[in-house]
Amino acid sequence: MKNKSNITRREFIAGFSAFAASLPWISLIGTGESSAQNPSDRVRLGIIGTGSRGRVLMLHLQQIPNCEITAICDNYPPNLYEGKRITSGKAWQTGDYRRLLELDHLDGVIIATPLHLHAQMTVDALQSGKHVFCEKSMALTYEDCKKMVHVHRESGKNLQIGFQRLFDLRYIDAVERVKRGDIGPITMIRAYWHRNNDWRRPLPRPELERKINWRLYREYSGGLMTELGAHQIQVANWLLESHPLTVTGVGSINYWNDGREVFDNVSTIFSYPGDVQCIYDSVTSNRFYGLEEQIMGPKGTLELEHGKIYSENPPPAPGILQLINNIENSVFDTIPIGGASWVPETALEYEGNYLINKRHIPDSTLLEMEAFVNSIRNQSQIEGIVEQAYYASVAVLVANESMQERKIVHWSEDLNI
Amino acid sequence: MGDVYFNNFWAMGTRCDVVLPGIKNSTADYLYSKIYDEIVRLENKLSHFMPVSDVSYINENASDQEILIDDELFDLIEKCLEFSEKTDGRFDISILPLLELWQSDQQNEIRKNPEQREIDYALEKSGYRHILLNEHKSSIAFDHPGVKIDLGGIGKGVALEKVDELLSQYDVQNAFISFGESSIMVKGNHPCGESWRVGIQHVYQPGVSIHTFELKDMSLSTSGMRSLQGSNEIEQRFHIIDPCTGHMVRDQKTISVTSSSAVEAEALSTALMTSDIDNARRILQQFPECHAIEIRYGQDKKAGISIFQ
Repeated sequence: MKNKSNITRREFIAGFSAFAASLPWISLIGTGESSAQNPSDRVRLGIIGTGSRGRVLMLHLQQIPNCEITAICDNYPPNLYEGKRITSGKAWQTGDYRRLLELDHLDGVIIATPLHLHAQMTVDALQSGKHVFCEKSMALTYEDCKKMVHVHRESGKNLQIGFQRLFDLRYIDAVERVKRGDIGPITMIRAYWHRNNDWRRPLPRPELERKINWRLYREYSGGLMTELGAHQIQVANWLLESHPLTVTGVGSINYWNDGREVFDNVSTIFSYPGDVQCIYDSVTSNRFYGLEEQIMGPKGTLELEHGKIYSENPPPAPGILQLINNIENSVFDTIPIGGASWVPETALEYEGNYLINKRHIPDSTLLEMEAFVNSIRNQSQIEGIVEQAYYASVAVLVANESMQERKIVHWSEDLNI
Repeated sequence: MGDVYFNNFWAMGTRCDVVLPGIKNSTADYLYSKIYDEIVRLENKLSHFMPVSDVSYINENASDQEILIDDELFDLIEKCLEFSEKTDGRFDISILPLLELWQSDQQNEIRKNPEQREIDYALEKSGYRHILLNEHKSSIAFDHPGVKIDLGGIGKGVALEKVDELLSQYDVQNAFISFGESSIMVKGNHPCGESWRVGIQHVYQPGVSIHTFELKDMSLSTSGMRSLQGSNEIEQRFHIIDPCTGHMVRDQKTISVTSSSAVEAEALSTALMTSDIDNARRILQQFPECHAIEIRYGQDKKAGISIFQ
């Protein structure tokens, strides 16, 4: 397992720019290696919520040297059983997270539970002296989001929320390119996440409907905006270096009218400073367009999920490039044209360029786990990471408010932290 | 260090490279925007790919009724018909039905075997003599259903001539404008030379020029086998039809023609693709100022050059 992590580290550094290194959460990657052998640097974690997402995080954690999952918790026995299997039965287990928080030996906890539980669990964990990694989005209400930040700051314990695009090298490269002006100032963002399924999990017994399919009920879930949109609005905030000033949206149930309470389609406009709009939509009845964030400026376009950049001006043909170089260097010579890079007269599709041309980009979820573990070793909060999470999490709640109230909602000063 | 302005954009199915040496950047930027606007205007008017272009309107309606067209388009189509006459029909803007038969709709891939009866049927709808111009009314009509015109073989030449005029208006002495390296127009000379030296590259040997043209206030058009961007293999896309037989020209060759008229260079390089050397020389007698070469590739990928004129 250790070797795997080392390979990742090497690969990561190879594609690492000075800009990436300047991001506080990225600078932590790999720093745990020197202490990886030292028993006193061992990080012991408890997992609260060993459902599908929790188990993905566990598998990543098991690749990180000198990090141990010593306790797991889930109040749904099949999940707890699966979690136990992953730890080969070694982890202590419970169905009550409060009992897990009583374990003094735990350095931190991972919370991967339904959204409405995030705030209370995070607050309790921080107050019990544990560092917390909580899955996105932060919480179901403004108050809960704010409370999580407040208690985190008061407790002096680390808090990290699972916005893994912050750790994705392609996204980091895109942010750097935007800052450098490669596409000019951002004038528009269009983002979407389209699926074609009912978003339901199979039920062993009908009475488990609300527990298993919690995403579909407003008591537990913010629907598409909190479960999917939060990731992409985090990216918009990051690129535009602000939270939205207003959000307006319309949501409805127009296909999966099966008793669910959350919208099965949402269409929203997030307005940012400088009169820049981010148009966001998500549907569950068509998957043709899939998932994308399109970042547009006068000089180019980024497609972040595909990891591509499209210049409004294509690169010069090699012959033309040679001509330009010759003129710049006062050389008068024949320029060969029409060679192997000749663009045909027939219509050509310009396919853009990859942001990072690497065969293997380290998994961003693995990196966010590694950063969390290393922040525990360092005993210091990663600068800026909670703020990124908070403003994205709150922005999607503003969108939900707009859709539920059918009105434009202005960002209230009270929401700032 | 010589100053040189460079910019480019996608238009007419390829990229247009604009190289303006020795001009202040702000001035060059302005000229570039003028060039861009003019080419986009022409493309929107002349391209049969554009659903709202004049040409699309003609293709949809001119079999049923006379269509009034403006002087610019009338003069251009008239000139195309003249080229058809002078090249024994080897340059022909009416071969779109044939081209559409040979190219699948989506990918521009060559269909394997159009049947002869399909070719015959498309041939009936092709032929410049189906195009009737009325100078008095400035109108166009087709005398057969299904006739369509395609100015793709000459559109870049038209664009280059317009750019030439535009640059002259702004007193630009030296410039190098290229559409996908196959349609080039130069003004004046390279800042360090008496001309612009353009080499026709060996298709299988990147960087090796088989023939060099010394161009001054001149256009150069190359037709024939193409290789695709970003591909190490020479992946050919045939796109030239012999208007007489209705068959795709599959010769391993390129034709390059220079002329002071970019439109003429375009028309001739297309027409000479389906000519043998005797026909070519006979056609070229009517264009004494033009130079034309053929580069032919053998099975061994070796190039042989014939200077037609």
